[in-house]
Amino acid sequence: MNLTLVRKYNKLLRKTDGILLHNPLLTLGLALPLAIIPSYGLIGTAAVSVAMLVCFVPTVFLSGLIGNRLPLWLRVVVYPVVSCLLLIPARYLVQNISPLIFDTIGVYFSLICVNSLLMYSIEKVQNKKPVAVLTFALRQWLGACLIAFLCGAIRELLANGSLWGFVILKDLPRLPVAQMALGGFILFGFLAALCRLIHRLILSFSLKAGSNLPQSSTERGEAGK
Amino acid sequence: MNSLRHHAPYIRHPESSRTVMSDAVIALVPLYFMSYFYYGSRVLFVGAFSALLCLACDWACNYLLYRRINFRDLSALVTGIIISMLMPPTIDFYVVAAACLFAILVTKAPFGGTGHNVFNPAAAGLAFATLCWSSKMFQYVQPLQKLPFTIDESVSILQGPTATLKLGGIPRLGLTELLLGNFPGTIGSTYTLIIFACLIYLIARNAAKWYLTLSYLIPVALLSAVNHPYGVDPLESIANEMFAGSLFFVSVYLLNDPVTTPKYRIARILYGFSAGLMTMFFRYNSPFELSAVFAILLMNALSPAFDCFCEWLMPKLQTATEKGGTNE
Amino acid sequence: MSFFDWLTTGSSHGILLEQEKEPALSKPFLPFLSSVSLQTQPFSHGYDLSKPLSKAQLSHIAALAHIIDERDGKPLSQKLDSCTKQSIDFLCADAIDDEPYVSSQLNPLLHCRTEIVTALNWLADAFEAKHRFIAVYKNMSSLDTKIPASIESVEVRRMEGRYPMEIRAFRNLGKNTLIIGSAALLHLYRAVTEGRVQTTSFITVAGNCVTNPCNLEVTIGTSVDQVLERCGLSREPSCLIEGGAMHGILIQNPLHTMVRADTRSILAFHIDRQEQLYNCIGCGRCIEACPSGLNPHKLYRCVTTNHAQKAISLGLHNCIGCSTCSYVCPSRLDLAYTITKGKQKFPNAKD
Repeated sequence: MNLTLVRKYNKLLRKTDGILLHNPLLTLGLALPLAIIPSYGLIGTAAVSVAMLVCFVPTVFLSGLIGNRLPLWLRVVVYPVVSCLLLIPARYLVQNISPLIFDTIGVYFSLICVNSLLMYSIEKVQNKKPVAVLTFALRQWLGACLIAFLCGAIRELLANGSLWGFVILKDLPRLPVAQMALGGFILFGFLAALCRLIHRLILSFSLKAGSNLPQSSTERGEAGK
Repeated sequence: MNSLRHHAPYIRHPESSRTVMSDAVIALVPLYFMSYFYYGSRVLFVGAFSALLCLACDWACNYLLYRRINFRDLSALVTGIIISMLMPPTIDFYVVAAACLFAILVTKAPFGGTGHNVFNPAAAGLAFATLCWSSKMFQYVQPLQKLPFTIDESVSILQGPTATLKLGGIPRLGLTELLLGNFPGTIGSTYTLIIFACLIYLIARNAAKWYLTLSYLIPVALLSAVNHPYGVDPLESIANEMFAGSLFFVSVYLLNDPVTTPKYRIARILYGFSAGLMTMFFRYNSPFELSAVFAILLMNALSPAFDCFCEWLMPKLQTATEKGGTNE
Repeated sequence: MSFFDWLTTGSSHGILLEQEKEPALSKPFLPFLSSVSLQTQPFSHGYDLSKPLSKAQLSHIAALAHIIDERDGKPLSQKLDSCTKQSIDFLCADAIDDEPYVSSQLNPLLHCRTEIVTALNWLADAFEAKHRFIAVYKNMSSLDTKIPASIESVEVRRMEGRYPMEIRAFRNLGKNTLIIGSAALLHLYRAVTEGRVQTTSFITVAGNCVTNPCNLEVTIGTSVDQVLERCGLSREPSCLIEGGAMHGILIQNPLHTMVRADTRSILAFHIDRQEQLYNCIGCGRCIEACPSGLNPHKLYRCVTTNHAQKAISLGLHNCIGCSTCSYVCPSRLDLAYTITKGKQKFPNAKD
């Protein structure tokens, strides 16, 4: 058993809390419709990511600053409204990416204001310092964005053979179902399963690395992710 | 003397999971003969390809997931045969392969293999193929011709009668044609008489439930009788709706899949009834002709809910009947 | 079967089983006695047999003869004593052998009719029972012997129904019912007339490994090995069972397992039983077979996943342990065994 490897791995996980550990999309299942419908391609994912950066991060930061001074029933109302107001500048930013994207994705931009990820983060940052709140919000945003970008790239490649609108794979068969919501959900399921598999493989590998004793196979870790 | 685990009943009913599944296979094989008679040997290759691919996939999944590979488990074979039955005769092999792979790799194996799947794998595979290659899935040909192995321009592609119904037209098929399946259609789902004979076999072997099939067909018949197009007899409308497409096949083979149906009888009846209503709803409002498969998939997701509803209902019904009994 | 049952569980109250009682049933039972039985001294109870015997006298004789009722394994005198206070409406001689192969109650009834009926009449007169009858299972086809409609003007009631019959047969008769096994009645007759102590019990030896299936009157304490030797084995059995094929007990060591007073049968089977290879496919056959109207496959899942509350709310404790669900299960799951284990594991909160 090689504990240094395990310790290193756990340290890495703790450092990347929100991105690798407790990823909001894959392990917590938050904001799934938000991530799945617009991530049909890279353009849509980029647009939603930018809008989320503008709407989600400042709202969470604000809620961390105000803290417990607002009662719970008011928090649920106020922060989505703040987030909605931030959607107006977000629209002008998004139009730089693609002029039509705000109208094609439509309602999912408004969903950024009232999704489960926002509610989860607001409640999570109540008693934290401002810097911690900001890093927490950024990590959540980054974790969600990374997975959404990965998903968007895979789906666009499968469906059109292109990335960001540029055709890369020309002669491969197309899977139009990948761009539907159905394909997104299935892909997310398999990605989540893949993450668990990688986690378990790393753990069992690092547990076995130091010794050749057969007993270590019984201690396969299931905790964590 | 012996180290086997033996528990109380030392005698068992001769029926096993294998016989239940092989009954389904036996009831499906006659349709291959009929399709060979109508379309030539190509359909046999399609059928064998999909059946073997499903079996191989199932075994490979079990091997990869460290489950014990059970070579006596025939449920993947049934899935493969049903998928090939609902494909058109001119289908390309890669569509069949994609449907089979989706059925086993996405719908069956991740949920835990045989007995644990939430959705019927065959229905899910077909739905996947329909969503991806909707133009290819409805290219039918005139029966009683030998199809070449590779489909080229020499084969004239026709629309099926369900597409005509969907557009509001009238197929004008005789009763004999409807019963014998002598019209453009899928590989195995149009031979009403043979499917009916297989249904009787399945009911006699307790592999299909008559009340489930009946409760599915009644709302379909009622709705199509009420909502018949102008100038068509209601009975003709019923016959067209039920026998011109894959609906009757679905009501026999897919609906009676033991894994995905509810377990209580009243839940099964409700399940069949709502699946019938859903089928007609999809028939009128969906862009695809293949409405029954989608309705079954939707109802599969709800079948545990039907069971829970039945569990909630049973004590109430019991007290009600007991009260009624004492009043008399 | 009521419409309610049909609609909800589809329960047909049990299953039809191949009874396979022949050829053991039609042959008269053979004595297989050791010196213990032959040398036991008869006792004398000293009662006048020309007069009808009273409850206390019968109970005393039963106690002297050490008669044990083979139905439930209780001493007969104890059963009679506990019934002296209450009035008895029904007095039944139980000859229901509803399990396949077993005919150790029915066989003495058919071949010692007068003795058993006489003993039944004594008891019925002493307890002033309003009705007396002999209960026999009805669903027995292909029998060589004919079961009469009445034996010496005592009604032979054919109990109709599917397999778990013996447990449910006397349910609707009410509390004032005394049920005595037919072999115990025969022992009572012998004790009264000849003063014989019960040293024997009636057992059926059958199964697909037994060359000569028959009913035996065996001295209590004979080992199972000796009994099997008496009947002959055609091949090496894979399992030996004491009791019926549906809920008997496996005999681990036939040399050291003795025939007891409540042993009813010894079965030797050769089973090519595979291991448990299939998952539950959810066919719902167990729900249709369950005589208590339960959902065995869901109970099985609740017990294996330790959902105690759910299992109890589904009626875990209504299970009568008849093993029909395991019998019909096409996936060969050990439903009945697991549910019985679950009954011990999750005790009922109400009790």
